[in-house]
Amino acid sequence: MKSEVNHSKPKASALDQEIIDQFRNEATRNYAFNLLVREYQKRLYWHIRKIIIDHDDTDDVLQNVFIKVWRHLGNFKEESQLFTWMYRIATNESINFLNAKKKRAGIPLDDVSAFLANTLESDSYYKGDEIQTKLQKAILTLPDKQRIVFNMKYFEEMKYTEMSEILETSVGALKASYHHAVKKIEDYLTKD
Amino acid sequence: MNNDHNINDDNDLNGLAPKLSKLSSNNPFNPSNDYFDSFTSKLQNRIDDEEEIKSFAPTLLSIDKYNPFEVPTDYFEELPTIIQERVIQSKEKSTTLDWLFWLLRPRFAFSFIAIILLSIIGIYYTNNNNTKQSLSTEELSLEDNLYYINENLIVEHLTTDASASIESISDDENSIENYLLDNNIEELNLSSEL
Repeated sequence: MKSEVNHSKPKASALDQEIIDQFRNEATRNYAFNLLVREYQKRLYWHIRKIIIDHDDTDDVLQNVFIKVWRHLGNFKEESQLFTWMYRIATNESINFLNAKKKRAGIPLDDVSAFLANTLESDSYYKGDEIQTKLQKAILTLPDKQRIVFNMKYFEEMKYTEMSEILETSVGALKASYHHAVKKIEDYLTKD
Repeated sequence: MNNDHNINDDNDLNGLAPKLSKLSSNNPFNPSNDYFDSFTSKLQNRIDDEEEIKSFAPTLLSIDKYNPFEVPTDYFEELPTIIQERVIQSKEKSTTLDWLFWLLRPRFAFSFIAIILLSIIGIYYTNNNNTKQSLSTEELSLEDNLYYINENLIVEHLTTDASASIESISDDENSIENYLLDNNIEELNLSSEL
């Protein structure tokens, strides 16, 4: 199954290539990094926010992600697209953050649903209506990885091939994961 | 005919809204360059995805797809500056540590340790030389002092010491002779006993 992961070298977009080239030049490094932050901040923010839920935590993780990108972009081997690489960093950072937070709060790693649901309701930057809140709570019952797959496919409308590169999982496994996630959410929504 | 119609429209607009008629009529909305190129495939993907789950998740599909999360006002406008500041801070912090980590990398560690050892040996050797040099300087300064002392004084001092020691020796010899005579010990018997 793992062999289905796409390892062919992708063609970077013109903007990504410009960012990478300018970042490698000491004189234009700051300009390139600023360009990169402005280009990707929203996509990465929403990706992290869907995993972590709380805005302040998302802000912390997003800043850490960009600091990591700054430190390692000079050595970026271009074996994947720039945004894929950054998404991967963001996903890993988010999962690590969430696990650390759960550990601090003394919550078992696989029992996160109620914890995140509380976060959702107490977040002043959440404005979902009743049915939307029910949907979000249904999503929060999924295991972390499945939740990420669902959000990337359903809300971000990402292609399986892109998700495969980011999550380093085969397309087949992702399709199965998404299918299971949708079924669980449907069950949650119809159970009352 | 058509041109006449346009001219009439322009005249009407001039009369109705002179300021508006002077503005450019170009479309100010500008989607990203690849928006229309990728629109068809994105739309098709979405239709396919919905078709795929329609049969077993009708309730999910009935819920409006919108983002219920919000961000503080101007968050995305201010974020690049905040991140740039954090990058500068992290650069300042990491400069010293980077040097240390760089020096402790396996390929540099041996050279680094060798340099430190050589430096320690060098410092130790230099210190030792300095001690020797300072000792010989002390000796030189003693000689210099003697040079400036009057020679007659030295001779007088030495001869006084010598005569004093000779006197003390002769005193010792007399007392031994007296002892031997007092105790009636002959010199020959003494030497044979010894």
